[in-house]
Amino acid sequence: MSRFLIFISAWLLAVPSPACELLVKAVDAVHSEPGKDARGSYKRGMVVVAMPDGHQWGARESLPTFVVIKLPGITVAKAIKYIAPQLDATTNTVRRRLWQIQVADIPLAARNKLLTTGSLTIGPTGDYTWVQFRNFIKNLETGLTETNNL
Amino acid sequence: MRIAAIALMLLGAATVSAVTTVTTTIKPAGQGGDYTTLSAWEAGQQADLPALDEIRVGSIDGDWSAGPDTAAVTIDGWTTDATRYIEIRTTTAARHPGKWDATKYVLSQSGAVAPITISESYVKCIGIQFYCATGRPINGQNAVMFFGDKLICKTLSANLGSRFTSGELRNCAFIGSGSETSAAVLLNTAAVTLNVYNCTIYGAVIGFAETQGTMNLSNCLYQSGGVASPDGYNSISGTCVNNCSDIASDAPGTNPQTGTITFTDAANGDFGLVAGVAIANGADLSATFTDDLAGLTRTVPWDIGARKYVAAAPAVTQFEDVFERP
Repeated sequence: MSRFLIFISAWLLAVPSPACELLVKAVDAVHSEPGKDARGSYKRGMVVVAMPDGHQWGARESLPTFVVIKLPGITVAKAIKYIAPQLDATTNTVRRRLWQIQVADIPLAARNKLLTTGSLTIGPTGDYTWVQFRNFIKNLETGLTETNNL
Repeated sequence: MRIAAIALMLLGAATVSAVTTVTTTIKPAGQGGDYTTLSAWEAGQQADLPALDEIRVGSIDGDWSAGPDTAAVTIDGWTTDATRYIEIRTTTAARHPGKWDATKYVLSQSGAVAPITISESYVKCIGIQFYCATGRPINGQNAVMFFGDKLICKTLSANLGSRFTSGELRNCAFIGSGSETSAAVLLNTAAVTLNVYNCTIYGAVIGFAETQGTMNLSNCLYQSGGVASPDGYNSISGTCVNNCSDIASDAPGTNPQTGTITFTDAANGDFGLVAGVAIANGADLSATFTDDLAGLTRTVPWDIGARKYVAAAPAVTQFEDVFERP
């Protein structure tokens, strides 16, 4: 039994915990043409890329243009849904992203932390739990907030 | 008008002194770049370039041997024109050596999503490798005036090739899947012109094809690589000179060449010329450009295809052999 426990412990220590980081646009880009603005412009709260935990972001992948949402316990594969575009019935892109974090609706203390430090951690020991945070992630096609667990 | 637009874009800011060129870098994580993916660069640099009077350059640099850039890119939402445009280029460190090289920068997708979708006009891409397992390596749409130089595109099993609108391709190589139902280089936009110079397509069922618009082809090389039912040049209506195919009566236009070309290592994406009719049978396009896919300077007589012919070095005469001769 003790050898089994030692083996399991070693295995658990060796296997990395799933975790990812989302690079999120912190400011709106605006195009004067409405259709192109919707289709092409990144808006505040849209996820640009998802990377594994510990990703060393570039010098400009930070405020004022970007913030980082850290999701310990969530794999990149699960978070990748938030970088999908909104498509029409003929699979043409109508909006840059289907999902958008409603930054303005995040409680003030968390919003201030996000916009001053450039980062929030979402998880059991983070700034918010996933169940709390998903209330601020909106499906732009349906208008509904995220209800799924990742 | 469009010829003038391409010319202005190729000349760059040098001819319009007020334009500022803003260059930011894309490097792998931990190597000190401004961005770690081309996708983040595009998101961070979106702007109205004529209003700012800028050319914005994404300079891809660094050591990419640890793996490709796997964040798909869509270029859209900008405002550009012929003298205030988007340029994405690799530096020497990140650029392929004239053949497919997975240790250099590759924009890669493992599924059917195109690694790059170009929905913005006036975009230049130079020295970039694109890989898409089951979809288009380059997806051009809703845009005009794309300029591609020294690009290498590769698929695994895609039935779609790269799609372009108007503009120019030069010194590019396209490695087909052998499963194409659409061309490796496709023009399907009405009332536009795509000029294609010294590009090589290998192993694609359909090579160059035009369903709408006008494709002009010079010094282009199609080799079927043994695929079933090959068609190197499909419905081409533009001006074609000195193109080559391994299929009889396939290469269109003036001075077509037919024959099987021996490449350095086609199976691994090295289309250096070793033997065949592509050597020394190209038209001299030095009024337009002077280099090849590997950055070598072309000399007269020009060759057909993306790579300039480089003769093998002669065998070294052994010092002892000279003195042993009577």
